[in-house]
Amino acid sequence: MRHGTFLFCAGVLALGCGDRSSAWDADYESVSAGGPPTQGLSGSVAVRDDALDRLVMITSPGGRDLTTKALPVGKGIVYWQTDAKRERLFVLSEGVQPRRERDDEKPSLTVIDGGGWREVDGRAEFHEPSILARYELDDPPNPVLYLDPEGEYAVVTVGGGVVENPNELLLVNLPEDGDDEPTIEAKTIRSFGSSPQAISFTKRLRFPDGIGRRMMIVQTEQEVALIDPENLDTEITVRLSEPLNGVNMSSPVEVAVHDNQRSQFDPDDGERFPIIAIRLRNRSTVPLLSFEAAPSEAEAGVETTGVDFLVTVNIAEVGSVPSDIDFFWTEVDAAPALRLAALLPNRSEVALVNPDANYTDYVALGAAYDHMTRVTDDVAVQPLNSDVALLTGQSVYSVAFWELGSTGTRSYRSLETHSIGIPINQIIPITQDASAPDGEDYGHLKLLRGVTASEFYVLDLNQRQSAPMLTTGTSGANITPAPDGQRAWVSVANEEEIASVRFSDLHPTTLVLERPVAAVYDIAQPETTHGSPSRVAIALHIEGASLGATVLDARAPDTADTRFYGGILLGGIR
Amino acid sequence: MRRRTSLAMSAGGVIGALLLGVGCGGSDSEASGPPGILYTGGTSGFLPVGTGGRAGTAGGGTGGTLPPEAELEGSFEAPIVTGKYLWSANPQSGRVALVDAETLRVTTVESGFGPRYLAAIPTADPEDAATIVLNELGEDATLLTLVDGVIAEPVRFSTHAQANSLAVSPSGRWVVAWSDWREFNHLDPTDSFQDLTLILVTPSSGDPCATRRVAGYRPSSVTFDADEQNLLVVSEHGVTVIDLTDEANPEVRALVEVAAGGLADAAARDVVVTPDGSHAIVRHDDSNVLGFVDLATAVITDVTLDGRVTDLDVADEGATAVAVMRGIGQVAVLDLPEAITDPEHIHTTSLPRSFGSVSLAPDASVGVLYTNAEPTTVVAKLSLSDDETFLDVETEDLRAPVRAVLVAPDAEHAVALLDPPSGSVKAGAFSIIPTFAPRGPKIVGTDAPAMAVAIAPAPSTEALVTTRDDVTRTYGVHVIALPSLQEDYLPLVSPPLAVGLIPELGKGFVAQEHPEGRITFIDFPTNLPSGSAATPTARTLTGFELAARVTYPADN
Repeated sequence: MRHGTFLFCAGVLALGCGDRSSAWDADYESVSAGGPPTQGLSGSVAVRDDALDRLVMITSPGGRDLTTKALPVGKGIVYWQTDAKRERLFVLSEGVQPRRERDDEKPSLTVIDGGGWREVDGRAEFHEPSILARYELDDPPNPVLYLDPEGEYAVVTVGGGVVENPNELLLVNLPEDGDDEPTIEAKTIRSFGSSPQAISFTKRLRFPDGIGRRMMIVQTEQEVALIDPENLDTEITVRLSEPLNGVNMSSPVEVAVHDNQRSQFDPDDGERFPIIAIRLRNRSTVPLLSFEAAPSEAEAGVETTGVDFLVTVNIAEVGSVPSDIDFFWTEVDAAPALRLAALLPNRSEVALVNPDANYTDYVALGAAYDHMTRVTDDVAVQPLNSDVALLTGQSVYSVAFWELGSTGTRSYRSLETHSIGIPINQIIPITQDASAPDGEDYGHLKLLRGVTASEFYVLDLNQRQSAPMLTTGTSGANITPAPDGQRAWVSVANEEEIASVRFSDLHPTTLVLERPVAAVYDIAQPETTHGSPSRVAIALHIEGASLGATVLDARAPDTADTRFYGGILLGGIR
Repeated sequence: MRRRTSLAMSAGGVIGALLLGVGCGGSDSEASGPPGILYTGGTSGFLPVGTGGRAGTAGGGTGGTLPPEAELEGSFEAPIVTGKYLWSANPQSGRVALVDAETLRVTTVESGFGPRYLAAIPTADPEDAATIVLNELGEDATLLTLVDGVIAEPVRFSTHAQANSLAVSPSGRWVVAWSDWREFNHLDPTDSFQDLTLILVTPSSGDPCATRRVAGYRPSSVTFDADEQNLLVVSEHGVTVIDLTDEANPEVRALVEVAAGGLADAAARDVVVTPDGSHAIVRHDDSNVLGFVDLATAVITDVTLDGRVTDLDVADEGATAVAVMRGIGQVAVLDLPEAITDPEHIHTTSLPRSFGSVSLAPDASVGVLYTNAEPTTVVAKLSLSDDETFLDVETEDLRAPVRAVLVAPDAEHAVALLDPPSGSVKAGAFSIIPTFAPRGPKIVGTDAPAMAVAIAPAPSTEALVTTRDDVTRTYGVHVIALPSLQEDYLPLVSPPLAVGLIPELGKGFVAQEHPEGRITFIDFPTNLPSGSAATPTARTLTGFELAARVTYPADN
């Protein structure tokens, strides 16, 4: 289908007489792989236009106005993803395959600043969406990208040839704000017969050699590797199993890291170093990695290389295969004590492991909770020495608030359960908006939803209340919190109705638009003349080759106050 | 009957891990516990002992219709302690893990094919450590030494086939690998197990080496005399004496018959060698005659007592032996060696009731009499002090049938393993008995049968008792402070395998069954002996060999 459209809007099309862009002849390509056709960022909406190897970035200068800007990305988008802050986009492209001519495009990674209105030094400034960097790759990338939540690194893997090295990683060192040139380094990790399955990054941790470093944690089928992204030669591999006599491999499925630091600790009581726990597939044992100073050959004047510390491995027995693990602070003898919690849905218990003593205590939960989320920072009243966790389960019709604590050396728990109508398999956090006026910060709310439920719940962590929100007859609704943390948008694919749920009073507003909605995005606008923040909601309509948008006031949506735009993918084509 | 276990086996480290009587042979004398398995304790490597497989070497006579008293045996599969280090073998991986009990740092080293049995070797420097490992499948032994914190290159020695036991000379200069026939399930009459491998660990010149020698049919014990001049191997043939003075060529000097019947009555007799190696003492079932065999001259001197001897114990100091005559309710104390020729040195006293076994303090200052041939809750403290209390007997009712008794190295206390009494809801029990202090025994009921005991060396201020029930999966260790008798319980995750103490660190440990290796270290709080309010704390190390699987940056 050609890029024709029967929806016109003034100012969208401009044709040079006698100089017609070849883009007009390009067939529209529906997005079938490599991610969704659209992505929402904090200040813009990105739309894929694979036929023209570009992204169309939509921003709003104010009111109900939209502007678009096309950004070229490489040919053949393989995968794209936003970062945790939703300010950057990462696009992997395979280029021209196979390359026959010297100037055939090579595979690439494009890093895009989503732009839009952002608060800088208390003032709203508009940033044009722009390309921050583009890296050429030697080989086509795999459709997966590992992003550092702190925005410093990204990891790309390549493959697709006759021979593929799955242990070869490309570490992209991302610049802050585009000031520096980003760099890319190749690293083949040490392998004992396996390949990476997941990659994550720690925050900066202090190690016994006195060096604070971040670690990239690479999980393979049977090992966990700790690699310093600032010095890729610093690679420590922990083999979790040694197949003997038919013993099955121990495969890591989850890694929990804790810095083991707390402000109450007295440095004179001894140094504390990070602890890492590894959950294994189908195993009731959890290896614990701790770090200690190496024997002091260096003190004897012997030059040392590599890392100057040892990794100690100790196996904790938790009694049953855990579904989730994480570190939590408990209180022992009126002081904070770190424990590894392992949820045991088979036993309706949680195991609390003292990582120093490797002693396990069991706490009955009364239900088969299988997921836990630390919510200590989200509640108004925070215990002094212990954490608060939210427990949910895919087969449990309740949620539980678990306030960890202890009496002497035995743990007790303050467990408060709330019945809800659906088993939960997803917890959607609400952005904590530090700039929100007092009483308008809803970071203490969580949206809880099940897999096929026709309702979701708004959970208030402070009040310990859960409010059901019924999405009658729409079990597959998309629920998207707004980046400013003030509302959530609910839409159902190809339906004309959308809803906004205001967190201040949980009032839902249903809006019936003129066309089926593919997605709803909430982006920032410049402040109003009164100085109050402004946001706009953009409902996208995708009908075959046509992309349109309905623009509404996000804070006070009213179908009587909208503007419709059609032919958005024609934007920029001349 | 038994002689005190050579303390040299746990050189420098846990000393005082003592032995318990365990049922063997007659079923009536067996203690209740995990079905089919009875456990003995100690850090010198004492393992689960199968029931009913040790016919012929069990102590105890057959007085009346009662079955024999129970004896214990040991093996070497459990971890051993040298100084502050624990050595633990993994037969599957072929490695031995060395655990620093102070830092819990683990070092592993390749030992051989199927390392299984270990024995500690004393070292001159207490900071160093050494062990000998029997690699069962490889039919060799590996000497591992830790010097200045570094494990030296292992030294390998070929051994004879089917070696499963180790005997270490008091100084650690010699190690003998031998085959204890009682560890095998199916025996052919031609399975003689007569081979020995003598390993010279510290030769006066040259490198460590090993030589093979042959002893009598089916050895039951291998000991060294006090000055390590002779190796004495007790077998069904008698006592083989091997002269070690020529270290390059140990000579089988003699095979001393220990009874007129030769092999004919081997199954019905018990032989123990005195600590100085001068005599072998032979006790026959259903006999009131003790045969004293001079190992230098082969002369046998029979000493006739008033009743059939059901148990004979020789103290570590070698100058005292105690013979229990259950049938007539008497006990005889023999001064060695004078009692062999002079009846004046045999002191007999009557007992207030029937006892069949005795457990002696190492210094022979006291003995505790008991019986496990029939359910009996009473024990008797027998004073052996050279004063006016000599042969005084004082009974104690422990409220539960006694299974075994162990006297502490300092002789101040004894620990008795008990079976749950009739009407009890407990699965087991144990008791701590003050032997001299005017205090009653402390009795502790346990949720699982009490299995093993370890007591600190003199002054014995701590004792550990492990419990195990594989049916209910209840495992734990009781920490007892002496003399306060404070008792604290620590649960364990896995079945306990061995228990011991590391006095120089103020710690105890319990090795447990786990495919990756598991040891729980127990820190004793300060002032625990006097009754500290603080409770012992535990720290468990699991996965010895995982540390070996951590790969660091190249050239690290």
